Amino acid sequence: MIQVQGLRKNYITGSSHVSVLRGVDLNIQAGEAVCLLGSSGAGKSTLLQILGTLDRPTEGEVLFEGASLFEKNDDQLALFRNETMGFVFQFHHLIHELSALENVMLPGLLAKLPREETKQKAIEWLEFMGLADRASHYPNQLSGGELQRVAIARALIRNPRILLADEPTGNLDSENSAKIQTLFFELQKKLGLTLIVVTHDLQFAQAFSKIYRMKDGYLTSN
Amino acid sequence: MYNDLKFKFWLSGRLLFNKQILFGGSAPLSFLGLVLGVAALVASMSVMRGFESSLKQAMIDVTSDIQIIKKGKLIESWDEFAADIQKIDPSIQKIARFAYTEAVIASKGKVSGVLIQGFDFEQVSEILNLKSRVREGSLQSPLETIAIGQGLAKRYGLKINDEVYLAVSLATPFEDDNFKRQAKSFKISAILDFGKNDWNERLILSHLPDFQALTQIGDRYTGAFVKIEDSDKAPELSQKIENELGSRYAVLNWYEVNKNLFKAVKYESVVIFFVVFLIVIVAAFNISSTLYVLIRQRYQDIAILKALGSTQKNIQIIFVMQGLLVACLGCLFGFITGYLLSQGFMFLQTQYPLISGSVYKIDRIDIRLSWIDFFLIFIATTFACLLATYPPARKGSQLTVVEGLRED
Repeated sequence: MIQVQGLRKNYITGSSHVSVLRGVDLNIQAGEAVCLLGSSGAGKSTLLQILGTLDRPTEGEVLFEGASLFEKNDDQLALFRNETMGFVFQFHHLIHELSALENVMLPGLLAKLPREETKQKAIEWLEFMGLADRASHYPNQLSGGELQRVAIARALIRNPRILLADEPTGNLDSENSAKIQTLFFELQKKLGLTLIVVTHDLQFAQAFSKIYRMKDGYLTSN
Repeated sequence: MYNDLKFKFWLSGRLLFNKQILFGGSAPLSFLGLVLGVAALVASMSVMRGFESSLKQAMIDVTSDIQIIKKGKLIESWDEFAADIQKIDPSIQKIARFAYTEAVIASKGKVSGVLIQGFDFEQVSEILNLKSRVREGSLQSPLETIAIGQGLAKRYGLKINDEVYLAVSLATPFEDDNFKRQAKSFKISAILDFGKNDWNERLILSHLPDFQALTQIGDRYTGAFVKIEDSDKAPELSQKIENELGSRYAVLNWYEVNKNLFKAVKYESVVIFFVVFLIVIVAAFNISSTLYVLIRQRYQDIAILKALGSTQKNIQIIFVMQGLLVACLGCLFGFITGYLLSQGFMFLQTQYPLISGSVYKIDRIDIRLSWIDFFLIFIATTFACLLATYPPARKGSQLTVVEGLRED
């Protein structure tokens, strides 16, 4: 489904030249649960961002079903993300001025889907996450675990084929962390999602079918 | 398309109206600047419009839409003359005769020059709107009474039923250097606000028989007041009447009598609009800088919207819409504040002499709020705000997702 070939990412800050990815090759099959494991600064988040088309590589290619993703312009990539990918970040990144329901509705509304239809879908996802009674609550009225579940519902409302998560449990206590981990695999099985998760939590990583270790911009082991 | 716009408008509103923005930072002050700018525009435009309209109304109320005056001589046969005028244009509704002359008023040891106008009060009531201008007394009075302006009454300390002397010089065509005068006493039956300072100081209205007896002109008249369907068409129609009657008659319309003043008011309105609009432009710049700060605070949200599939153009539209929202609200509150300021000005006029009649011809302005002015102010303010919000909106939209997420 996703083929990564010779991926490099360099940043130039002032006079210094930083190579974050130094030639990454990777194959991800549809429906796989893949974990990118590594210490801080290893380049795993950058790789995830490039896989999620949130950033462009300096060199190399990312093919999605055989087609090069970065030949698309920014607007085409935005549409691709909206239709194909769901994102969950370490911090929930919900919009504070919107209720839980409105946050979940956002991807559907951005896709110009009818409001009522989107609302219905958002309610269903919140019900699935056990947050039906929290739909009208604002982010500052929700707990850490609830916020992350709202963020997951938001990532799934467009029925994406790929779910990308960057340290999704990094900001949660152990109880909520375990719940979110279970939820990820439950969703992966239920929806047949391709799951790509960045984490440094070994226990979480062990539950994945494929684990890739990253170190100093290299994908060191599979 | 409509749903998408509705969504963007909704989102821009939700992102704009939060406690942090409404009650903190420079945003409320920038908004207040815009409101005051719009209010100043509304108030100044309504004063200018009001000035123009008050002057126009005073002219029409006291001198009618069009005046026809026979040059050098008097009109001998009124019925024939009136019929000739009536035939000129179907939009002529009413005609009334009048006569006037320069005179001298003497009362309480003071003497000054005045202009006496004589007409049939009942007949002219269908053309002139003098009733609305009566401040004391009544126009329905017996012969040998006169109506005077409030300026003259104040200057001479005159009240209703006080007696004054009016003296006129009589025409002596064969003895140019021989001055003959005629004087008579009159009681004051009404004191009027003619709406124009020089009239209030000099104009005296008398019954036609009294005037004819005083000036010894017999059954003859100086000219005619003409009422037409649409006062705004007076300049064209007066030209038509002048062409028909020829050079023996002077045809004046309400606009022509104070043409320079009306022109000056129009030019001043335009100048004042642009000068006061500078306040709105300054406010728009403030809004622009505030929006830069707000967008800076929104980096994460922009990044998330982009991650969820929003295009750069969508982000730009959402923030430009904030500018539009600010402009609309600024106009709404500005219109209300401007209206209140205008009403305050109206009230203050009743308490203090704010307008000098000797300078501005009128000493009281009726505020006039015009839909055209509201529309122009709205369009100009919206345009200024949109122009001011475009650069920060563009900058915000160019932010990359990675940059935005780094703001953690």
